[in-house]
Amino acid sequence: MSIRDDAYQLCKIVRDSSSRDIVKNLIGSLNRAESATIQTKTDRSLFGYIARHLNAQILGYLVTDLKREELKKAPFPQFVPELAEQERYLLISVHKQIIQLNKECIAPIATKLPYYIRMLDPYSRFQYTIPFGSIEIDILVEKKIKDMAASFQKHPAIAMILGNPLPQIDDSNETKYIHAITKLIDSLLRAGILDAPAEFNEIFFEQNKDDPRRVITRQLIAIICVRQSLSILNQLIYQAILNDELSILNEDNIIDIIGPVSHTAGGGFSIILQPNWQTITTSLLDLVQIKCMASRMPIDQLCRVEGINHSYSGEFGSTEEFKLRTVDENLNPFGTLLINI
Amino acid sequence: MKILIIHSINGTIIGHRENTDLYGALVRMPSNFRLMRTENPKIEQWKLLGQYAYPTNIRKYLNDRGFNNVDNRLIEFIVGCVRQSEAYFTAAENSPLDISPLLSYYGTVNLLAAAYVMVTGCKPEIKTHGMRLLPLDDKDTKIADAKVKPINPQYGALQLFCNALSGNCQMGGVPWTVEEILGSIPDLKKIFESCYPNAITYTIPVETLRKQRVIFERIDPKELARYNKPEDVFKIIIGLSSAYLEPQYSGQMEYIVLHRKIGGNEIGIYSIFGQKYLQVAHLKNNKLLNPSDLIVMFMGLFAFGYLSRYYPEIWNPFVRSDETGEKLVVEGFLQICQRYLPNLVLGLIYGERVQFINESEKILDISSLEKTHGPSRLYEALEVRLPDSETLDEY
Repeated sequence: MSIRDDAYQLCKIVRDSSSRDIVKNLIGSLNRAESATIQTKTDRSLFGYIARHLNAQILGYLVTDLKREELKKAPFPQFVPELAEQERYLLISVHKQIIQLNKECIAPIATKLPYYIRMLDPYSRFQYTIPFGSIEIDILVEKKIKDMAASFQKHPAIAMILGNPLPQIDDSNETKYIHAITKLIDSLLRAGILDAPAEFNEIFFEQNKDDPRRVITRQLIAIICVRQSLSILNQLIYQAILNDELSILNEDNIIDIIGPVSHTAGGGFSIILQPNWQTITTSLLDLVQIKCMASRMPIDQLCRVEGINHSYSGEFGSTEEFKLRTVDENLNPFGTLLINI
Repeated sequence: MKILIIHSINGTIIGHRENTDLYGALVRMPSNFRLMRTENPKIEQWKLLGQYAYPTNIRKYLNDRGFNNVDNRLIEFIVGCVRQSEAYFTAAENSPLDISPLLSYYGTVNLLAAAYVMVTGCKPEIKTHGMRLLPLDDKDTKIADAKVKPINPQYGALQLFCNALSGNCQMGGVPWTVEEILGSIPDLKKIFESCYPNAITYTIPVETLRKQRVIFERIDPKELARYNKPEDVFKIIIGLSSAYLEPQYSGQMEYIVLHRKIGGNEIGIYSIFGQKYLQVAHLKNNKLLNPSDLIVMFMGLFAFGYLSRYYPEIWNPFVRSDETGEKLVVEGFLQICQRYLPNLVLGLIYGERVQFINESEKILDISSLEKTHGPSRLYEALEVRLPDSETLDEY
C-alpha cells in the first residue's frame, strides 16, 4: 500500500469517527451566513472566509480567532465574532492531533536532525503557539496516527534527507534555509502547473549531479517534498472532516482537459469545467480527484488545485478553469522533481 | 495550437474533428465534414454522385470497404439506381407541382436503394414502399393533416432504409402526420412556423461558438416558445445527456448553453447552409423515434407523391387554388429535397457531412500557428539565465 492509499484509509476512519460531526458542524457554521445576521457583527461567515484564505486547515480558524483584535484595527476593520470556549477547545484538539500526526511522520528525522523540524513543519509560516485547553475527541486516535506515520516514514524524500543531511546550522543559517525553501516553493508555484521554473532547467542542464550547488538544492527539494506531502496529508484529513468524498472531476463536469503535462518538476492538468456545487465551493490548495475514463487517456488522479479562473455569463455560459498539480502515491506534488534532481 | 487543419486537395477542404494543441490536448472541432467549393451545388452533387454510375468506381468503393468479389448484377443495380435517380430528379425539377412530388419520390427511392447497397454491400429485399397514406377525412383542413403509416417492417422500403441508413430506427406502425414530417426539416422551419402557427417543430437551431479552447453551443430560448415547458424538450432529445453536460440556464434566460461532454458523441443534424439543429424526438407508441432528416424527407415525398398520384381530387384544387399559403410550404419542402437529399446521400457514401461553399481559394494564413509554437521549450530553457540575486548559490 502506498502512502496515498494509507492516507485514504485514514480518511475513512476520520469520516467514521464520532467527533467528526461536531467539528464539521462547527466549521460549517463558521462558513455559513444566517439570513438574519448577514453583514452584522454576529455574521460568522466572515470567520470562515478569512480562515479559508489562510490555507492552513484547522489552524486557519485558530489563527483567525487569535487575530480578531488585530482585524478590528485593520485599515478596513473586520469584525470577526468570537469563538465560544468549547468551540475553540474543539478546534485546538483537532489541530493538536494533526500536529501529533505530523510529528510522528517525521520522527526519524526529528530524532537525528532536530534542526530540520521547523523546516519540515508545513505550518512554520505561522508564528502560532497552541494555547492550553482541549477536549476529548477521536478524529485521529493514537493507533491510527502510528500506523499512518509508519507508512509516511517510507517517503523517499525522508531517506534522501537522512542519507545526506544539510550541515548542522545555527539560528541565522536556519533562517536562510527556510528562506531558500520558501523561495523554491514560491518559484515552483509561480511557474504554474504546466511548466517547471526556469532556474531548475539551468540546474538540470548546467550542473552535474555532484555539483555542490545541486547537492544542496537536492536536500532543499527533499525538505520541500516532505513538507508538501505533510501539507497534503493534513488537507486530506481536513477535507475528510468536511466532506464525504473528495470533489470528483469527471465526464459530468469536465468540458476540456489539457494534460497530463509532464515536466522536470512534476506535472498537472488544466481543466475547463461546468460549475456545480462541488466545484464552486472548491478553494485553492484543495484536493480533487480526476476520474475521467472518456478522455483519450483514462485518468484517475489525485490533484491539488493551484489556480481557479471563473467565467460567468448568461450569454456565453459559465465555466471554471482549474489548474491542477498531480499528487503522486507518496502524496508528493513534486515527486518527479525529487527523482530528477 | 488550436487551429483547424485544412487539407486543400483538388478544391476539397477536409475539416477534422480532432486536433491537438501544444500539450497534446484534444481540441474538439465540429463533426467530420468535407467542404466542397462550387458555384452550383445542385450540379456539383450530381457530378459527384455520377461517379457511382460507373462500375469501376463502384467496385473500387466497395472493395475499399471490404466488400470483395461483388456480383456484377449488384454493381449494375447501383449504376441503374443512380442514373434513374438523377433522371427522376431532373424531370421533377422541370415539372409542375402536379407531378413533381411523385418524380422526386421515385428519384429518392432509387438513390436510397443505391446508398443501401453501397453501405451494406447487399441488395435490399424491398417488396413495398413500407408506408401507407391515410387519406384526409372530413375533420382535416389542410394537406399537412394527411398521415403516413409505416407498414411491413420486413420488406418495406421505409424500415429497410432506416435499418441501414438511419441508425436502425424502428419506425413501428404508428402514423405520422405530414405536419410532423414537415416540422422536422431544419431548412423549412421559418416558413413552416409561419404557416402553422400552433404546430410543434421538431428541430431546434443551435449556434456553435468558440471561447478560447472551448467550443460550445447555445440555444435562443425563443426557439423553445412553442413547447409548454421548454426544459422538458431536453428530455426528448435522444442522446442529449451523453453528448452534453447539463444544459446551463442563466437567470435571465438569455441563452441556454450546452457544453459538449468529453468523449461524448455528437448529435444533431445540419441545414443546407451548415447550421446545426438538435432533433426533438417523436413520441410514437411510448417510444421516442428519431429518424434522420433523409428518412423524414423520404416519408414526406411519399405522402405528396401518393396524394398527387392517387388523390387528384385533393391535390389538384390544392395546387390550383390554395389560399392558405400551405402550397408555399410544400413547394419549399420539394425544393429542399431537390437540393439537399442527394447531398445527404453523398454524405452517407463519403461517411462524412458534405458542405458546399461558393468561395474562392485564398492564402492560408498560418502565422498564428508559428506564433503559438514559438521556439522549442528546450531552446527556451537553454536560453534562460537567472538574475544573480535569484541563483541558489547564496544558500
